[in-house]
Amino acid sequence: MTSGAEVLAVEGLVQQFEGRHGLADRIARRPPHVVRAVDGVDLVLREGETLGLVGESGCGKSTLSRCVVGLYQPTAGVIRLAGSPVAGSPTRAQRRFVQIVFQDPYSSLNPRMTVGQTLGELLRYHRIVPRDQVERRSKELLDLVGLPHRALGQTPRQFSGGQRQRIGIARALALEPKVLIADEPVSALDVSVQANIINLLLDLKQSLGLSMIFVSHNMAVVRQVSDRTAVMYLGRIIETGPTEQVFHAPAHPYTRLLLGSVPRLATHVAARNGGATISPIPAEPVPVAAASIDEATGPEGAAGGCRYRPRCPVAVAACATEPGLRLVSGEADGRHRAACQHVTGAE
Amino acid sequence: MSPLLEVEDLHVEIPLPHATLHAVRGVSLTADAGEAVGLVGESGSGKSLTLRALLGLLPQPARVTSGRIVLDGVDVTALPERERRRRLTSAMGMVFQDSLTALNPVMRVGEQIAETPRRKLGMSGAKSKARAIELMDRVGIPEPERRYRAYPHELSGGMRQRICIAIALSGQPRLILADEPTTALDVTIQAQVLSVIESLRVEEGVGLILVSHDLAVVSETCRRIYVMYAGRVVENGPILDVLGAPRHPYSFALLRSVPDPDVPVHRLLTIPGQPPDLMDEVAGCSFADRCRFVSDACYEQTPPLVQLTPDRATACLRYEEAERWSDMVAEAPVQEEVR
Repeated sequence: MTSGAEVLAVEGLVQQFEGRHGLADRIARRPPHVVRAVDGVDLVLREGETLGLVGESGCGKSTLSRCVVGLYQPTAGVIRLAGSPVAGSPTRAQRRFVQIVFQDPYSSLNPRMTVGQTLGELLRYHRIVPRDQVERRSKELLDLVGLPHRALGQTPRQFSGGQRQRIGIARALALEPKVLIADEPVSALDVSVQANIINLLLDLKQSLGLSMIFVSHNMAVVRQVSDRTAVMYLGRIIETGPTEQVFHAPAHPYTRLLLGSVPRLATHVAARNGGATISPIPAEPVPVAAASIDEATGPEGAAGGCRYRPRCPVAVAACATEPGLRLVSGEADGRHRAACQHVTGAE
Repeated sequence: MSPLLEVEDLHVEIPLPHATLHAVRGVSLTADAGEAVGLVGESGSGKSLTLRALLGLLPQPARVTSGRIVLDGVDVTALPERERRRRLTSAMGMVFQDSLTALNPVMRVGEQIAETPRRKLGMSGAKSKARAIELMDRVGIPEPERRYRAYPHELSGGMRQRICIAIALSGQPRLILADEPTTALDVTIQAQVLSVIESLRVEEGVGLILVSHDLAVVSETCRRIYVMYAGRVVENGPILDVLGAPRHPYSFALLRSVPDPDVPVHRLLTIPGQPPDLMDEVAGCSFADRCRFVSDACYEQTPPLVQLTPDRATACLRYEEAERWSDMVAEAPVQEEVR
């Protein structure tokens, strides 16, 4: 467990989006439709640590990471980078501090700029190196992510998905950030390429001493890369703790559902069952999933109570009030907390 | 008894302005009634094209250049176009990856399901509607009478994919072809959709050919697996045998590159390089450039698909050494491209 200094903290972060509010709506005095994509999130990232952020699509994990890099102006809440709060739009130094690797390596790179131009622009604008050193530094960055030097003169379309993601990583690293946010960096890639990029990110984190927030819907990938894991559901973190704890003893029913739904390789299951050959098909079709046939309803569906209540197989009357994160086990940074009435620890 | 569907030496080519892309290079596979068969491979390995070729749904200008498709012991490739289509479409239904584009956006979902029973099975309007509602109930859509009148955009991704499955079932097929049916879905929804497919297979004896890049999904659903690489089947066999003791270096590497949700951090094995360009004829083994266990012979001879047991085959010249592959990887981790 790492317990370095705090590099990034998020307190009570709220990000809401307003739906289209046309003239007819205004005449009829209909209130604008407001979506709270992130609804009160607290997070701390410590030096040298990887925090895994998991959840289904629409849970707000990408919005959260975009808030942290300053692509959105949060509606409420504080983001602190290395102890100092971001006021309004982040300063140039703050932008350098946190960088993001986007999910889609096809649309996140400018198709008309060569890799050299993309990297060079950043190096010059942020004055990372003297102008005459830009090319040398660009080559170093390519070395870092394992691309040949000739890539500098090529445009993104000449590269495969995995190579483009490497360019995306080089672009993020050009600013020598302390915190790297990886927003689903491998979900657009083939499995064999995924492994390459995951290994690359882990190596870079080691050698450059980065802290990382790894956003993904893929539980298996998060398990492999993160020290701590936070599970999001409809804009809130509903369980957080050391990765081992969260995966081994999930306390929130939603986390249990997520983990139970992950498809598993038959051989791995057989190996865990003492080598006995078992049917690759579970005898009953995944019982946990049955309780959730209606999928995520919006927070309004929960009418103020626990937002997971409409789907929850173990909901009780007490769930009509929304629980905060409660202690499951551990202390200090090793705390494992879950927002569920069935967890009896202190809030 | 001959299997329900037998594909022999299927070739698909895509003519391009300056060259021809030989995308599927001699795929043979079989599927039986009530059996679930998996087809895995990376993007570009030809798995989706193989599936589409079976139903005559190849995108323009791709075409089948040779091969046989045998349905119920009848070689349909020799039949006239009309007859071939009739036979294939009545025996098979297809589920596509992206349910939003697969459905007609301006037609109520119930009517889309009722269309086939009405047109193909000659049911009356009322009867086909009852059939559609029954199918919607079958795939686990709550309140099917109300949802019958919904448009695709009013339903969530998981619901839409269930509608697609209901459409595939509406012609009473004996085989469902599913092309990455759960790739666009969240894990919890994926588990639900997979269990719907699974219960249909068990209860109604509908066969399944599942195309996926996700080994775990295939291993939970299928009994047999075909691993495809660069337009060819490189290994096939019962799923536990193939996953437990792969006899082709590609399956071996693919298995080790998948992270396991239940095991703490271990280093994933990577497959260096990229698949070959399918515009060129590949001399020798198409995986040779990326293979850890390559020998000189691999570059000279195209490895034939060797039958190891009656239901297991591999296209590797060095499959006899497969037992030692694990040790070889452990001893000499290949230098990765990244320092």
